Formats: sequence, structure tokens, C-alpha cells
Amino acid sequence: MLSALRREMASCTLRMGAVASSNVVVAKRGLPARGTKPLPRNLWDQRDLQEQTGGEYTHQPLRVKRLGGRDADTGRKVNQHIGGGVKFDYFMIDFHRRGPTEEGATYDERILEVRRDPNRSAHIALVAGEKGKRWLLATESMRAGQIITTSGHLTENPLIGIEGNAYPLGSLAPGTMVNCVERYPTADSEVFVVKAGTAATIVRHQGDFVVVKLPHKHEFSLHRECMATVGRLSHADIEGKIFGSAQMHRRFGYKMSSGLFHKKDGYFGRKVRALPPVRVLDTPPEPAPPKQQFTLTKAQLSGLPAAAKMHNLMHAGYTHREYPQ
Amino acid sequence: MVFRKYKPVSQWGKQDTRIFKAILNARNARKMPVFRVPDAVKALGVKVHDPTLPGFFDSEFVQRTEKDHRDFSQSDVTAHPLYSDTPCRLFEGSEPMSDGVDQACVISKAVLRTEFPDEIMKNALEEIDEEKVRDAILHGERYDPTLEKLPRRFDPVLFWVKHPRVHGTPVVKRGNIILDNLFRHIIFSAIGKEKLKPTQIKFNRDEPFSTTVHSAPYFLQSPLVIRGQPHLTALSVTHTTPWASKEDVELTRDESIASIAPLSPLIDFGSDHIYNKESVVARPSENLSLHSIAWTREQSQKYPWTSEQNAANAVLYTFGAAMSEAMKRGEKSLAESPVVSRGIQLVNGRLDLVAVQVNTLDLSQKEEKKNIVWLHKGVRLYMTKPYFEQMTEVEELNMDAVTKLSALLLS
Repeated sequence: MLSALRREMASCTLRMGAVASSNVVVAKRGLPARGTKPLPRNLWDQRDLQEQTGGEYTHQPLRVKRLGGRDADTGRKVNQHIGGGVKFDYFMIDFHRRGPTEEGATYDERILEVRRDPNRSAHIALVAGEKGKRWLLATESMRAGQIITTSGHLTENPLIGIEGNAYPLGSLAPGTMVNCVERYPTADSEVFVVKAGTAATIVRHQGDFVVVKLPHKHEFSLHRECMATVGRLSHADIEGKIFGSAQMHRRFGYKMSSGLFHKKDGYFGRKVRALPPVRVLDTPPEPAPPKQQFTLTKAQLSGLPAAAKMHNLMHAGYTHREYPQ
Repeated sequence: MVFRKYKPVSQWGKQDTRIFKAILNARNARKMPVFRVPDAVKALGVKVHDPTLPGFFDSEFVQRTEKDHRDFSQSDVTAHPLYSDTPCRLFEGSEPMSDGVDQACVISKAVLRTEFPDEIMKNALEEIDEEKVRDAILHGERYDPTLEKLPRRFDPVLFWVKHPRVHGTPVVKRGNIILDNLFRHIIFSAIGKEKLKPTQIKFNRDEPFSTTVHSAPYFLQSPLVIRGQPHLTALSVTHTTPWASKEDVELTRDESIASIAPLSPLIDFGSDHIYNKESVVARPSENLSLHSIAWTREQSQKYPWTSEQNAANAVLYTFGAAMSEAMKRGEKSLAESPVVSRGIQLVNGRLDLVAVQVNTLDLSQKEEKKNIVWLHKGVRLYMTKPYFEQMTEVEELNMDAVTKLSALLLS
């Protein structure tokens, strides 16, 4: 749960591969200066969230610190054109819906409220059930008063899922549109498809794995026990909405991006590439090793090998010989 | 704002420094008499330690004092006199009931009536002076001279605007003044028309109450604690007559309580280890029975509750008050004369009028007789203005709400 919360903040769109944190500005609005894969946006302070909640889930609105595109460790900017604006209340989203694995048994919840969330693009839904209340990402047709169910049972024959309900991938028929797809069948894994108006499609079943086509057409082979919610995410018309003014843009924490004109180089332009082969996500990645803090001496910082590693004042006439009496 | 004719002088210069230094030097130069242990202390035989001696701070006396002093000890929740190993389910009116009144009815094992009985409505005051009611409202909204700093304003549309902080009467205090005035007007009118004896009802203000319910099916393992601090607690010299007759109570066996599936009725309760195991009521030593409680709720600017949630809040508080009275009397006494308590909640110019009749303390048996809740929810009393605006005259006054309130109080 803890690491899920930690990851939840940073993962708004698909990220692949390890992203090295650097002390120089490497990204613009979550996109790297080179390449196409989005980077962590560093919008909210995950540690502050962890401290406030103690790692427990809460449906209460929270006042989480905003990082303004800065690295949480060094405090330096890693993400350009992000920062400032109004601090909105933060709602924790539960991306991992788990239900009973027995056949026919479901965990039912009622939708109490569907509302906008300034912190993410899709609408969010407050649901209440036997175990309490939680916020979920709302699918297109979710309305207050509806009952949604969650089942963890892997059916023999694939089902045609009902929108808003959550099933294991292995239970859903090919062609089903899904969102909030777990990468691994663990409750702390990141999820695919959280952006407003998007959905992944189930392509085929292969033994213990299910091939899912994400909105950007890449295909992933995920374990069939990974949970997913049926339907397309709400607020699809966000693409057509505009902030209306530069000032409103800034209120939401985005800074203007105008500056010195740079001529486009060869990295720009349309890329016509073949889709990569299906990527199989079978084992969760190892957790990152704990961070170490140490200080290097000037000699170590020089990076020179043994003989060349001389004193930094040697050029200025510093010698090792003893001073005459 | 307080009107200031002159700005206070905030200058601080070298002359001030010179004067203050001179004062300090003079004070330091002043000789104090040598301290001698008073004879009275000597006579007590108390050991006196001299802190000017070397090694005083290493002495066992100082070490022990530091160890025992509460400022040096870690706060331990288990040391609290009201600490209990079993956590309770706590209702304090801070979290809205997700399923509204139905959920409150499930918790209190009650059937809901949305109209007051005709016999009760007959008790209402016929002629209520509208001007007096207007004045009662304006007393809280306009005439009260309180100048407290009011909360930060939040505008959901212009969410980025930082509004200037204004001073005035807090919303809860306004509402409490209005409730005070309405109660006084109704009670005095009833006394004048000989519907009520002058010594029949006694009032306590801002008296805390706490009720602990241990009944199955939900609160057997960990009890339900309902606690609050209503502005008005009315206590009656005699037991109030039940609203529903014995026959009506028997008929509740066949009625079903509203279903809130798939929600659990317990999801909105908090949890705490520190609570009163016994009920806390106003004037426990006097032989009085609880008549009614009245309080004001302030809506959150960002996340206002719905009228259902407000009504559920009123029902649960009134149920808690009624249960404390019923537990005082006991289950056997309930069979003869059930307990009726009334609750009045004022939220944003709307009244939630509740009456709860506790017919049984056993909340587990669904087939047995049930408690009864009469509820008028969200009855508009007057049209409020936002807390940062000044009301000059009462708009959309609804005298029907006052009539219902009088019927509730004089039943």
C-alpha cells in the first residue's frame, strides 16, 4: 500500500524504464527535452502525503505540499514550466480494487458522488461499501446512486464486463475496454491508463497472461490476475477545454513556456516507427535500494587517477616539502 | 472594525535604547537582601537545597525532579483517566452519514415518520408574533456586537482570490442566539397562555453530553459513543408523554427498517480509546428528565453537507440524548413509558426538527418493537446571507417553521 501511494502521485501517464533523477533541468512540463516518454511531474510532495496519512488510505481531502517541479531530495528544479498556482485539496485515489475470489461473490459499493479533481484529468467518484469509503477514477457513465461491483474470480469463460465494475483481466473477453489496469497482480503496483477519456483494449488471452493494447497502441502482456475496471475514463472532453487565459493557466501551476527561439533539430518531426513487440510484465521490479548520503573530498571530486590526483593548490606553488625553519 | 483616530507610535530609536539601558542598569545595580530560610520553613523541617553550591545540578534531587516532572515525560495516551483498551466507535458530528437519514435509522433501529402526529401539532402556539420572530433572528444576525475574526472565505468560482478577513459574529454564535431567543419566546408565550408551568422546564447552556451504547448487532464488540455539546439542553421536571401509543409501538414490529445495502452503517464513525464508559448528562444529581437539545451547525465552505446528511446528524444526536435518558430509566420502565427526546438543529437558516421515541434499548432484534423517529428536515426558517455580509432585514421568514418548533417543544 505504501509504495502504491508513493507511486500513485508520480504516475499520471505511462512511464517506462528507470528514470534517473538529475539536478539539472531535463524536462519540460513532464516531457523530457529529448525523447517522447513522460517523466515524473513532481507535482506533490509524496513524503508529505506519507507523513500526513501515516501510509493509510483516507478519503478525506488533504493539503499536500507541492513540489513545483523540484526534486524532493535536492530541492533543485528538474521540471521546467511547473510551479506556483493555487494549492488544491488532494484526494487519494484507490487504484487497486480487490474483491472476493469465490465464484458469484462480489464486493459491492454505491457511488455517492462524482466530481472534478483539479489534481488529475479524469473525474473522480466517491464510493462507499462494507469496508468504508474511497475515491476511484470515474468511468464515463458513472453517476451518483449506481452500484458498482468488484470480483476477483477468474471465470472459465470470458465475461462481457459491465462498465464501472472491476474484474481480473483473465475474466474479461477480448475487445473489452478497460482502465486502471494493474501492471502486476500486487496491490502496490502502478496502473496503466489513468488519463481522462482513455481506455486500453484487451487483445487476446495467452495462458496465464493477457495481452492488453494501451491507448498509445503498444501492447503489454500482463498476468491474468491483474485487476482492471471496465469502461473508458470520464471527462473525455478535457481535450477540447481551454484554460481561457494565461493567468488561469498559471493558477493551475503551469508557467508560460515562451523564451528564446530555438530552431528545430532532427529530433522533431513525425516519427514513423514500427510498434515494439509485446512486452511481458511477469515479475515486479526490485524495489529501489535505499538512498545513501555522503560527501566527496576535492581529490575524489577531481575524478583523476592515482598519480594525477594531486593537491588542488599544487598549480599555485603548493609543495609537500617542509618549510625552512 | 474598531475605529482608531490615531495610528500607534511605532518609532524605536536610540533614545529609547538609552533609556531602557539606563533602566536595566539601575535595576541590576539594585541590591537585593540576602535570602534567609524563613523560620516557618525551618520549623517544618524541610530540607533546603542551595543552588549556588557546586554540584547542585548533578545532585540526585535535581535528577529526580527532572525525571518526575511532566514536561520531561513522554505523553502516554494510556495514562489518561478515561483510557479504555477497547476502542469505541465515535460519533461527534464531524463526518457526514453517507446514506443520510436511512443510515441513522439503521443505527438507531428506528422507523421513520416524516410528519408530526396531529395530537402533537395541536399543541402548537396559534398566534406567534411575527415581529418578535424577526427581532429574534435580527438579534443574532444584526444586533450582536461581537467582533471576532471570521474564517477565511472560500469562493468555489474565484478560487484563487484571497478575500480580506472580516470580523463579526461567528455563524454558530449567531444561530445559538437565534435558538435562544426562539426558545425563550415560545416558552414564555406558552407560560402566558397556561400551556406550560413556569417551573416545568430548566435550561442548561453548552452542557456536554456523552452516551455509550453497547447493544448488538453493531456495538457489542466496541461500543458506540455519541458525544456533543448542544447549546441548549432543556430538562423537564416530569417525564414527557410518549408521542406514539402502545398500540402504535406494537405495530412497529411489522414495519421494516430502511435498507442501506451495500453500505455498512458503521463506515462514518471514528475510533477512539478515550471515552466515557458511562453516560454524561446535564444535572445528573437532580431528578430531571431530558426534554430537548438544540444546537447550530456551520456548513463547511468547501464541502457542505446535504440536507439528508444534516438531518442524519440531527437524528443521531437526538437518538444519543434519548438513549442516555432511556438507559437512566432502564428497559423495564421503557415498556410502560417510552422516552421521547427532541432535537433542533439550525443549519444555514434551516431547521431540522427531530423527535426520537426510544421504545427499546435492544437494537439487535429486527422483529421486535422498534424505536420511532419523527423528522422534519431542512425546514426553511429564514433566508440567510453569507457570513461575510450584513443582514439588515429578515427575508423569506417562514412562520410555519416556528409553529412546528413550538409544537415540538410544547408536546
